[in-house]
Amino acid sequence: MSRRVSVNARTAFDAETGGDVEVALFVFEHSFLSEPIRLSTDPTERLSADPIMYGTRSSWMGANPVTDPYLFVLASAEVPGDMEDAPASATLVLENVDNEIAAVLRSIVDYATVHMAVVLAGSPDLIEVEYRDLKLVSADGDAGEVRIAIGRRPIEDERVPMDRFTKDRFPGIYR
Amino acid sequence: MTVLTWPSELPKPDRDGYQRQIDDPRLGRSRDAGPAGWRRRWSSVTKSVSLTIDVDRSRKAVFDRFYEEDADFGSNLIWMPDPTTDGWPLLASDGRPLLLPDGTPILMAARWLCLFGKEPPRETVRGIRFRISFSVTVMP
Repeated sequence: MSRRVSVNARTAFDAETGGDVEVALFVFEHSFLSEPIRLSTDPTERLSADPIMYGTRSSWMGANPVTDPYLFVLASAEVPGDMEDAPASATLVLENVDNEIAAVLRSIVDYATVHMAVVLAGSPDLIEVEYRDLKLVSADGDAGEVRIAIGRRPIEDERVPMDRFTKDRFPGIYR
Repeated sequence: MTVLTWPSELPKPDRDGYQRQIDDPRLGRSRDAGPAGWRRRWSSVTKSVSLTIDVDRSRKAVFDRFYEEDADFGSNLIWMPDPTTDGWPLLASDGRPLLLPDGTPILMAARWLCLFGKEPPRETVRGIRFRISFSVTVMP
């Protein structure tokens, strides 16, 4: 799969030394949430001192950089791969700093929608790589960390029987 | 939770115990041979600063109460005057201090948002005074 990446990003990747910081941005959407949760993996700037918050300001997904910054979490992220015969799946590993994290993750019964993007810290509005409409399929963890798996909706959830190839539904194959 | 303020009763840190180091925000390029290479790993960089204060018995009690009770054994954030800037005179380009019309120098003000560092404070006795050395992590 080929993908368009900006010249700045390619220069940063190819640089002998130096280069810009890559930031993974996440948007979590769920019907229980009044507004989406926006997360970033880079403490680009300090947003407030009390409580202490860091975040990245980006206009990705229509976010207003002034009022809805992407908040920094203690997380490491793995972006979806380009494997040919496996679905794109990503992992977000959160530091388990608060018991509330487990309570929130256990409280939802249907899948939350997750969008991911990779930007450079120097150009946060320019999207290098983007993955939309993934599902939060599992969250498990221990006292130290919480692993959130993000991927496509599991195929076990599809209804049986699936669509039948009738003339009404698929007229193109009966020409 | 409000951010604590460093007790104003405590003196400025000593010169000889001062040490400041930037916490490395780089990622090394691992190679078998050839020159080293680095790239940035994250944006905001913390600094580790070692400080020493020389206090009498009553000021030591102020520090102990601040560390153990207010800062909850060093787990709360603190606003602390930056000892390398706060209270220093503002200088002109030729090194002379800038003065107010009545002759008092203009002093700079700066404060750090910091946390106590990894090592808990350590104190030693010298004569009738106490030397408390501790480290802080200055948040970006």
